Order: sequence, then C-alpha cells, then structure tokens
Amino acid sequence: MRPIYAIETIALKKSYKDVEALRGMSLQVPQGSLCGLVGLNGAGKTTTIRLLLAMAKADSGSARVLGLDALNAEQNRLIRSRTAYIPERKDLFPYMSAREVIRFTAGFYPGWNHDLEKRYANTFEIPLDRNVTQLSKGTLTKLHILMAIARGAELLVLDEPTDGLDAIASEETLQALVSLVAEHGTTILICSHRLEEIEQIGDHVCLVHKGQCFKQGSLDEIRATTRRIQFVLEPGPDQLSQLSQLGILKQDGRSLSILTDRTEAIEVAKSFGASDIEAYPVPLRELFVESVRRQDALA
Amino acid sequence: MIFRLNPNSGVPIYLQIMEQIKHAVENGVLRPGDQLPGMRKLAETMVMNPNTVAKAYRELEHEGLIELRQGAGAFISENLNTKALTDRMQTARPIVDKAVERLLALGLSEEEIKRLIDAAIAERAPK
Repeated sequence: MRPIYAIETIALKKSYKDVEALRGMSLQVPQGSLCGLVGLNGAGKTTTIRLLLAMAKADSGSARVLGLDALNAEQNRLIRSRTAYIPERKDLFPYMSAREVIRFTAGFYPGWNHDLEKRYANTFEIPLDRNVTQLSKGTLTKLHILMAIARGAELLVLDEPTDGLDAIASEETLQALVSLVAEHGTTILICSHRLEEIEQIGDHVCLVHKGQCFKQGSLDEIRATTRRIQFVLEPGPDQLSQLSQLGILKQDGRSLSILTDRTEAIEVAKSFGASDIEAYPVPLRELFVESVRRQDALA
Repeated sequence: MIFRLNPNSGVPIYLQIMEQIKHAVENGVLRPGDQLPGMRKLAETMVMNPNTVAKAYRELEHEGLIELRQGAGAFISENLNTKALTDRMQTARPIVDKAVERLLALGLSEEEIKRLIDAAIAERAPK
C-alpha cells in the first residue's frame, strides 16, 4: 500500500555546534501534492532536506520518505534512488554540453525514459548542444527537471527554484512543475521564501520558523478557515485575554482585529458586545508574516 | 471561457474556479453540453495546481453542474436547468440592486458595502 504521506517527519532535531537548526520539525507532505516548505533564511528548510536525503545526521526524531525510514542508511539509499534533488546551486560538469550531461546521467538509471527525455527537451526548449556553463539559470533548472522526469523520480525536492530568475523564466519553471504533477503525479517539495509562488502553484504548505513548523495543511483549507475578524469594542482585561487566546490580536484603541482560524471568534466578539464586526479573507503572506512576528515577540 | 484567478487574495482557488464557471453558466458564456478545458490543460495554461483544478471540477460534478466523462473530459450537464439558475439570479438581482442603492444613498463606499455583505455572511454561517 502506498503511504498517504510522501514525507513525514516527527520532532526532528539537529544542532550544529551551539546553533539549534531544527527544534522538533514535524512535517507531513501528502503523496502527489505540490508542497511549499516556506520560511525565512535560517528557518531550517535546507537542514530538513539534508536530513531527509542523508546529507546530514539527525540528533533525534524520526523521518519517513516514500514509506521508508530516512534515518536508516540502507533505506535512505533507496529513497535517494527514487528522489530527485535540485539544489539552489546547480553544479554540473562544466566541460559538458546539455546533451552530454543527459547521456551521462542516464547511465546511472536503468529505467531511464528516452521518449520523455526527448519530449521534454523539446517542450522546455533546451539547447542540447550548448555547453552547460552557457545555459541560463532558468534553462539549467529545466534541464534538471527534465532529468528528474526521465529517471522517473517519485519525489522531487527543489531548493529556491526561481531564485535569480526573471519573471518569464520563473513562470516557465513553475509551469514545468505543474506539468510534472499533472502528468506524472510526482510529489514535489519546494523550499522557498516566495509565498506568492507557493500560493500560485501549490496545494499544500508547511510554514516554518526557527526550526519548527507552526502551520501546515491544504492551502485551500487554510484559506477557507483563516480570517481576519475586525470589530469595535472597549474590552475589559478579561475579555482582552480571552480574545488573545483565539488568535493574533491587535488593538488600537477601540478598534480590534484578530487573525484567527477559530470559528467561534465572531460569536465570542459578539457576546462581548462588539459592534461593526467584519470578516476578511487573509492572504498567506499576511498569515505568515504576522505569525512569525508574534513568535519573535514572544521569544 | 476566460478565468481570472487571484492566488494571493486569501480566497480558496478551487472556490474561485467554481464561482467563475457558475457565473459563466448563468450569463450564458457556457451552455449545457459545452466542454470545459481539460483539468491538466487548465492547470498548465493558468500555471496552477492540477489537484486544485480537479477539486473544483469534482465539487461542480457533485453539485450537478458539470459531468465528468471518463477520458472525454468535463462538460456542462446536458439536463442542467440553466433557466432555473438564470431565473434565480435574475430574481436576486433586483434585491441586491435595491440594497446597494440604499446603502450608497446612506453614503457608504463600495468597499464598505462589500465588507458588510461578507461580514453578514460570515456571521450567519461560521465555517
């Protein structure tokens, strides 16, 4: 039976000397989803990937990838044979042409699909005879995606895939990823700090800060449940503390707002005698920024 | 039909897709039997998640607005009573028109009116 989650980690911890990179990272990435792992620089995104692909050793916790134990060296080898990783720095052999890189890589994978390779070289318009050092960043990313498709990777992990790309190249890269999910059902995990892109092409998201995941789930689910409730009220201290339990509370005189996913927030505000109650949908960026600010303020 | 989706609005994208297809049926852009763009094609041209498109189509099928035919694609339901749909909207329209007119007369801005309606809906049916 296929596991529900392509990636599932429980309380992963990892420290480098005196820096706690991961402080109990628990993630669930459903099979076949396009999931954004979103956080600031240093939030623990790359460290998580490194642990999942055995490029570093976890201090504690557990991790399963494609149903296998990622912290077991033997099983991790299997995971890596079914997973493609596209790091931020895409170093390829500088003396090779794109065609030679493809042929060289194909040699490692007995299941290499030459038809898909040709089709996507066409679709992505990859100049096969050009030396890889002469390829633009966007084309390099597409070359990597092509190779992931041709080797039949079940999981694709990308680190900041559109960093340094212009608007057109970014859009083309995102489009390539969308096709991958649509046609091959590949699970894709994208580490990114670009929330707009994750909102555009993702269907799942994990928001991380300071080595922990503070919010994860289906993007549409999060959109449907998260709202900003705004109202007018002169709250007593008791009411204020109750309201602040419901979400991220802001107060400016008699004007209050709560960023919340709790359905009872409106009822509670009403019961306190709040007037002019308004509810707004909340963009993911706002949710992320305010949650991170609040965590930093509490720290 | 032409979709206008805003991924950064905080409104679930599958709902945006559903609303726009319903709207297209109501105003006659799409008629019973018309074929909708394939899920994959739509995802690729709009550069958005195929699972999200699939969810919108599944929900619309569940509501009886569209039919998913194996291998052939998605179609606006043949036996769909578009007249009933259109009638419903046409009955509703003057009610909204009158309310909006009165609210504007009270000096409310368009934004305020939209917020009030959203708030009223939010208070009625907490999801």
